[in-house]
Amino acid sequence: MFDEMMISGGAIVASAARAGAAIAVRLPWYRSLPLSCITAVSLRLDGDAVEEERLGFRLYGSEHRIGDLAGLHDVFWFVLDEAEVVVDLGASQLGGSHEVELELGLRIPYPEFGTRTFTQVARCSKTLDLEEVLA
Amino acid sequence: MTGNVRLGVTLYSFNAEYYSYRYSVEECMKAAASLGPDQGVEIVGPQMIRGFPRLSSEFEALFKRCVAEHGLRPTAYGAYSDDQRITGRALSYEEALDYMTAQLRAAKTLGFPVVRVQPREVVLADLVPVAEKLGLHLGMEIHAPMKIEEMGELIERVEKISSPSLGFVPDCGIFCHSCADIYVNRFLELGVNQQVVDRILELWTERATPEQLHDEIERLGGDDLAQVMGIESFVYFGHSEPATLERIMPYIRHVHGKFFGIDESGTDSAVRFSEVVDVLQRGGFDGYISCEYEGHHWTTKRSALEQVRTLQTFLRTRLGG
Repeated sequence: MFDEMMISGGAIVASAARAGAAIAVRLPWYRSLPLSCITAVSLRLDGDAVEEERLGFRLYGSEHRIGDLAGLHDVFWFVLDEAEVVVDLGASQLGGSHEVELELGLRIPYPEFGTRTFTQVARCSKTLDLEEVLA
Repeated sequence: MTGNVRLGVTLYSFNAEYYSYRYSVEECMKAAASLGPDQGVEIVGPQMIRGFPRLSSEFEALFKRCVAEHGLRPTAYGAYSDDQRITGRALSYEEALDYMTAQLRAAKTLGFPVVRVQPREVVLADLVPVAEKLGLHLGMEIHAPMKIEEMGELIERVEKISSPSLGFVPDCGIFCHSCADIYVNRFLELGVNQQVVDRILELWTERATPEQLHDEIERLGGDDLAQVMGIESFVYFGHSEPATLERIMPYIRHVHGKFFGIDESGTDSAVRFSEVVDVLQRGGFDGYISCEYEGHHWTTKRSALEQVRTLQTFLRTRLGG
C-alpha cells in the first residue's frame, strides 16, 4: 500500500573519512506498526544490491541494525512519520543522481483469518538526486 | 419496532488524503462534519493516535475540540489485538490484555461508546469485565470473508456470555451482490487478461474456494497479479445474506457501512445496502451506520468525501429521511 510514496527523499552525509546515504522512507501501510513487523529491508543502489551489514534503520533518533528490528515490538513507527534507511558507503563519494530501489517486507500483525500469517512486500524505485550534506 | 438508524463516517475513508498530508486529523473531522449535523465519527486508533496503543494528551485535546467545534458524535474506536506483533511467539495473557485495556481506556477518554475489536479469545474470555467496568461495548467485527451463516458457535458463545458489553460490528462488505467495479477496472488497467478477469468474477459468483480459484487462475496462465485479484475477490466481497442480521440484532450496536465505489445506481456497485438498511430498520437497530469508503485501495483518483456524501444521500432516502 502506498508503495509509490515509500521513498520520500534522500541525502548523502559525508564526513572526512566515511560517507553514508540516508534514504527517507514512509511506512507503506495505512496505520502505525511496531518495528518488529518489518521482516525485510533490501536496497539496490544503481542496480547493485547493498549487503545487509551495510544497511541501518533510523527512527526517532535511534539507529538499528536490520537484524535487530525483529525484537523491537515496543517501538511503533507512526504512519505519518519518516524513517531513514541508512547506507554505509565507506570511502566512496556519491553525490549526484542515483537509482534507488527499496523493498520492505511487513508482517501485518492482525491476520484476518485465524492465525494465517499476512505478509506484505512493498517496492519502490526512485531516481534521487543525492545532495551532499557535510556531517 | 422503532430503532434509530443514524449515519456516520469512519475517518479511515480519508486514508489517501490523510497519508499524503492533504488532510490533517482536523481536516478529516471537518470533512466528516460537512456531511450533516450530528454526524457520527469513528477512528482507527493506530492510524491517528501517535503513542498508540495509549492515548496522547495532544490527540485527546485535538479530538475533543474538533468534536465540540464541529458538532460530531464519537461512535466507535477501531482497536486491534495485533496478536502477531511479537516476532516468533504468541502474546502472553498479560500482554494481550494490557494492549487491549490501553485501547479501551483511550476509547473511553475520547467518548467512544463502542470499541471495534477482532473476534479473539482475549476479548471473549478476559476483556468483557474490563469493558463493563468502563461502560463500553466491544463489537467483534464481522468482516469478509466471514459469513454470519457460519458463525453459529461464536453467536452461541456471545449469547451465553450475555453481556451488554459484548456484541458484533457487521461490516457491510460481507453483503455483496458483485465484486466492485473499481476493483475490476483497476486490475484490467494493471494488465490482467480479460478472460482471466471474467473467470475470477464467475468463480466468485459460484462461491469457489480460494484453492479452486488459485488453481483455475494458474490453469489459465494468470500471473502473480491475477492471483492477487483472486485473493482480493475473496477477502473484500462477501456472500452473507442481509437477513441473517436478524439472528444477531440484539448484539449489534454499530455497523460499518463498508463500500468501495459509487456507480450510476447512486449507491455502491457491490454492497446490498438497500436490503441491509431494511433489515436494520425492521429489527429496531439503534445506532450508527458508519460509512467506510475503501475504494482508495485500488485508486486514489476519487474524492472520498464525495463518495461518502453520495452514499449517505442514498441511505438517508432508503431510511425514509
